[in-house]
Amino acid sequence: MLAIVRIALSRPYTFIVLAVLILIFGTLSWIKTPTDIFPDIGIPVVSVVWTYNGLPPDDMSGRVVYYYERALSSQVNDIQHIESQSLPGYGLVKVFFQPGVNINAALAQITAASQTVLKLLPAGITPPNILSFNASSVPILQLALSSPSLSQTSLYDYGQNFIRPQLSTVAGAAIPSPFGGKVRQVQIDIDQKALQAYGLAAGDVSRALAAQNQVTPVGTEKIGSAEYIDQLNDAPETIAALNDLPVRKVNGAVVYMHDVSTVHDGSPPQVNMVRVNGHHAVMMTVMKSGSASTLDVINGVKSLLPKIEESLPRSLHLSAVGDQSRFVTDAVTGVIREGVIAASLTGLMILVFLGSWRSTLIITISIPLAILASITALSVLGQTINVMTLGGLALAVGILVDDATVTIENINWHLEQGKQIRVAIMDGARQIVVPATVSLLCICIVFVPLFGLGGVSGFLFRPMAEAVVFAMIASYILSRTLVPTLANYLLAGQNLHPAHGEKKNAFGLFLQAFEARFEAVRLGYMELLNLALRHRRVFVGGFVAVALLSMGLFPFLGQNFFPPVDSGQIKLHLRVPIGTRIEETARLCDEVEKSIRQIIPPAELENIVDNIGLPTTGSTVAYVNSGTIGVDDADILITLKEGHKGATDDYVDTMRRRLPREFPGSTFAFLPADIVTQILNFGLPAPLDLQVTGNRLRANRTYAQTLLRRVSEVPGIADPRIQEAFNAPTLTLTADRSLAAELGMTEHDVTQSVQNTLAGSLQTEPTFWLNPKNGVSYPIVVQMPQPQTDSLDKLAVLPISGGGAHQVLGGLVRVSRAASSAVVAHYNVRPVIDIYAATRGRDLGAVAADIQKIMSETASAVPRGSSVVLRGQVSTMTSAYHQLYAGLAFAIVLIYLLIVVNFQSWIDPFVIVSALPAALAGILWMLFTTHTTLSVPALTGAIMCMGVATANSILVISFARERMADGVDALTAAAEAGFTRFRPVLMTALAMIIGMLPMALSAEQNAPLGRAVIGGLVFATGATLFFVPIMFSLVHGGKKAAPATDHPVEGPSHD
Amino acid sequence: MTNPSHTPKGRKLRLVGASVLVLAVAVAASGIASRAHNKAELARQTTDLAIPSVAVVSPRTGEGSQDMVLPGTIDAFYEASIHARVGGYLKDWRQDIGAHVKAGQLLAEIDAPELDQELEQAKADYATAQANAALAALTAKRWQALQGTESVSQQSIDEHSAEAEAKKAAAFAAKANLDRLQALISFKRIVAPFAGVVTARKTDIGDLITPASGQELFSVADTHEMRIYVHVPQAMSAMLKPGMTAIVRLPQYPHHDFKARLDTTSNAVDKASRSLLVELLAPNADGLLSPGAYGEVHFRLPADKGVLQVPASALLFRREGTQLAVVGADNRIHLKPVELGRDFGTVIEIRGGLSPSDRVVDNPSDSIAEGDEVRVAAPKQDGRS
Repeated sequence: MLAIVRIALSRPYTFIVLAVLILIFGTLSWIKTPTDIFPDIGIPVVSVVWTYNGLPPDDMSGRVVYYYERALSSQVNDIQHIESQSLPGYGLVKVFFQPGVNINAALAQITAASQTVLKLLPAGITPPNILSFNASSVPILQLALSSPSLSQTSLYDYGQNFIRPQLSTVAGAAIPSPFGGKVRQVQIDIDQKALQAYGLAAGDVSRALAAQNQVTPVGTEKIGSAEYIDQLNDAPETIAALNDLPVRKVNGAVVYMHDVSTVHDGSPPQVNMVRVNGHHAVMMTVMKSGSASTLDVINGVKSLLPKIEESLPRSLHLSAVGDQSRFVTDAVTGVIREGVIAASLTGLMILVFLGSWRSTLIITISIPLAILASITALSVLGQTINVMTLGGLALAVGILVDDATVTIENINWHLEQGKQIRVAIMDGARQIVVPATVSLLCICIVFVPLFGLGGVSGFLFRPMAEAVVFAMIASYILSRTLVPTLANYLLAGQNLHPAHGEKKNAFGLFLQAFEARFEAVRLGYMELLNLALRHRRVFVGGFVAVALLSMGLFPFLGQNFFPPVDSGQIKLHLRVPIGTRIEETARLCDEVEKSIRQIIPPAELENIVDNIGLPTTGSTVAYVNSGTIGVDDADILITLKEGHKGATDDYVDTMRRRLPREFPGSTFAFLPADIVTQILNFGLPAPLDLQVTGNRLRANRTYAQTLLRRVSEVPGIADPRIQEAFNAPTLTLTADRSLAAELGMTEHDVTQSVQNTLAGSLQTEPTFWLNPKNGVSYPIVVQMPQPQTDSLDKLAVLPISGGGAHQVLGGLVRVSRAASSAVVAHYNVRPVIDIYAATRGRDLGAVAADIQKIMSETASAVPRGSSVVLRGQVSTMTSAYHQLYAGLAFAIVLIYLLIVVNFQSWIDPFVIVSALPAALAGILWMLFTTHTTLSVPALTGAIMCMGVATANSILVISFARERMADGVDALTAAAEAGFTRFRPVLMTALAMIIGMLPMALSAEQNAPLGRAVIGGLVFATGATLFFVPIMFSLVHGGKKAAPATDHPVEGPSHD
Repeated sequence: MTNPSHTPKGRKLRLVGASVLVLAVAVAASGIASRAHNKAELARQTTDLAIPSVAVVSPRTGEGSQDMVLPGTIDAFYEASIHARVGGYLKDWRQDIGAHVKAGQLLAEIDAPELDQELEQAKADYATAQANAALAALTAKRWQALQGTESVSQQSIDEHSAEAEAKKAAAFAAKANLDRLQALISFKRIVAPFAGVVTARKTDIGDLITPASGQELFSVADTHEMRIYVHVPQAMSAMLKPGMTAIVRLPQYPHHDFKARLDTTSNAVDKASRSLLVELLAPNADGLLSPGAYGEVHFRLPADKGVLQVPASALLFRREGTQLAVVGADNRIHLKPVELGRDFGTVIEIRGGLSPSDRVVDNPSDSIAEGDEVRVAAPKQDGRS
């Protein structure tokens, strides 16, 4: 280490060049590294979406999903768990993997498994969509397509077939099919009356279509020297031509398509509707995939938009809503601003304490370099610039200052002894190399538990720890290299203590006054310390008592995973009575929006976007994470204006109170709207997910309902609801098979007619029409227009034909009412019922604890073979807390062992560690008085505090040990140590506190971190200055003078 | 500073220490108290929020109706197919399709010259026979005058009398033949059998008409009233009673409701199609109903006036059977098992288990249970029924 300092002095340009290199590479990395809100959360999830139009959830679950899940569990490795949702027409299977899985191998296995089960599934099913994404794949931008003149069908068509392919070239953007609008397809609207008049049934029409519209190459023919391509009029080229296809000969006359139906360019019945401020629109969601930067993706998309707009009709408006780049930029610049303010404040503080421009300059040069070096290292490791890494750097500023300050101060001290600059630098370096290393190790060690964090919190806090550790190491190296080099240049000729000199400018006078004041404080401290030393036992007893009593505040803090932030967005999930048709849902949404506009004044409201029902393509369904199960569900996204006055939470509270009363029968839930909570919820629509798992569905439902009733009473719970609705209104059509058989018909004839009438023919007999104008193939679907079957009576007269006979549905089928599942969910291949809930006005930990209590109280009522588990954000939180507590304890043990090595003593390290409870007490008091709940950032702050507090205590103890080695008795040694180390300890603590002040005062995610550090350090500094010397004197009280068998740390002594 | 605790400075220090301690305790106490207060307030709010709001409806009667729509075939009241009795060539036709004709009105004439000749011959034959009969009668009279004169034998007299009788009979026979041919000749004129509409004309001038071939020349239908035949599937046949009215709609007159009355049924289910043939009569004064047309026959079965109805969305299908959630006077839920009647799609009849004064919860939640406290929401002006 010292050799390096020597190089710094003899070959000074080496480290100037190093600094320049750091500047270049650091700046380059800063520009090149993607900027994002959070680090990449590399927990891979693979979504598999099976599509089978119109298949009810019970059948989807039983006939498709179960098969597939079992196949997955036997064919795919490294599965952590499998979740699935069976919705009407969709089977959504999510496979979660163990950390460190080879996702490409897993994808290959999943694809293979999908192929093997295909033959076992209902006929006509197509292979599933398989999508791989991770927890940070959340919507970052929404493009709303609206037009005063274009139809919803053309809007969707433009979005799906023209805009989407162009946008998908943006690196890192994942763009699922659009939401809302109407899918374009060729509709054959069959006319029931006409069918009856001709004695035909819907099945005849779809059979005719299949027979008349073929896509089959017929071959070539060689005539003479040429080979001709033969083209048959297999597939009609125009929609009009489809109208003229013959259906069948009836009583000698050929019946054509146009006789019994209307073929037109249309769309299937709408199942997904999007409105922006009440106007129909089509919404394209841009998601971030993989490790791409949110800002890059948004900018990429935005820069493409003008080019895309040129190719679209003029009346089509393309507008960006829900742009998260603002949020990301705000968050990132917020942290940067805090960091800069912190750095300036600490710089000012150093200037005041050191009283030297030159010394301050050296320090202010080394801090940015350390940060740039850290950014370079992070960039090399593939981390992004985000709130967590920047927060880590902001956290590090305080300590970085400390490292450089100690070096400079020491050099100054040696210079004051009248040494030559080079000698002073060498001596100073020699003196502080061990304490600096120990303090570096201390702070690095406390961050070790963060590296061990699993799950989401691990992905979030590891980069933060990395940022701190890299900055620390960089600062440590710079203090040994660049700082001596610069000191050699700058400190050589400086006038030490200008306050004593002749120049009496304003700054000089201020410094003089400050010095005098500080000296008075120091003397006051001395007096107090002496007083305390005289009443050691009383003081120690009192101190310990206060610290222990303060622990009593712990239960009142409450526990959250992450502190909530006001993102200015509200996502309201509305579930109208199950089975409501989409038109009615839309009407209800309008009324709900009317009520919302009464609650939120127009001046505060930016826009309201609603999204009713599930998107029409399976791959998009995979991205829906709001718990939508069908057209009876709507997501209403409310964006408040920037700088809104009313707090988002207050609006939410008012809505929670008013909306359920105004709309009885509907359920309202407020989902996380901000990107942060969405990421933390990991694809779940609520932070609390109480799962009842087991095969006894009926009993489980009853139990879940009792559980829901109990859970609704827990104070602070919000929006408790059962996700798996099982009261979907159902008509059971029971065909009399024997009667059908007597008439020469089979169940198949009944099925085909009913299916072609109600569901359309797409699933069982897919045929397509190629539009030669735009090169898009549109499906042709035989279906009866829904208004033609709008009553039970009309259903009863549905024509059925088969085996030459003709009958109406009512003659063969009995209709009765029932209720069925609107969604079937599985967890690890077992049926599950989810009770979702959020919290309001109370911390997650307390609500979860109450729920746990209810769970254990009702444990006897759990049906046999079923189990109840609390999952969601709360379980991630619990595991993160456990890991952090364990890590913290482990870190303390490590620090203790480290100091043992350093001091070669078991007792002195104990004295140092015994000051830590005071830091904890300080954190508790700070959080308690600021009404901040405990959270992972707060715990991180606590960890940081441990490191700094230990480093400070080491300073004091090492000096005291030094004095004792010189033969002074323990009491005097302790007093002297306190007095001598008063200044550096205070400086370190103040630097850290001032550095954290902007963060603590902000309303950002990391505010609890700042608060914890400040509170902890205030108390820990008190402990370092009083408790530690006193404990030292108590511990060493019996001994007169310890034999100096070792070479204890020698610190610089000031003034 | 021998004993600092007794110096003024020490006392000041103690004061400061004590006040810091008191302040800390105060901060802690107030913090804990406000948290406890918040929690109590929160608990109150949560309990309040936990009470679900429900919309209630009162049972109604007489709403909705069942509308059974079946395809029917419209036939004329009478319909006659007109064939030729005489062979020949069609001389002329007088009425074309669509013509309204009276009974006996000429439709067409057949040219049958051989028939005319036969008639002439028969006339001649008759004249001959008459002449012969007259002569024979005279002869017989003369011979009878000679009776008793012994100038002639009784045998001769009898022979002449018998001959006169025979000749008379022959004359009668010739007359009958003449009459037959005269009647036949009238079939050259094809006339309408009853008043109605000519619905078919399948011949034209010059056509060879041979009666043995069974060729139809005209079709005349009586359309003053129409008969409508409907094949009603066995399962739906129970509610049909003679005398009930039905409405017939034709594709060509989508906005015109034709009234029809159920006249009779075949009273037997057809084995092949398992359906009951039902005949309805519909007046056709304006002539819009045409024979052979397809019509949608709507049998409207109104709801029973005395039976209570609730919206179908109020029903709960539980393991215990079909239930309705009723809000009692104490605003608590009472689950009533009910027996369902006819289903009209949006409303459904409740045959038993419900009283007209009950407040029935519409769109009850999945988890609604006996004894739950609820808040009854005020009905919205523009809300759903």
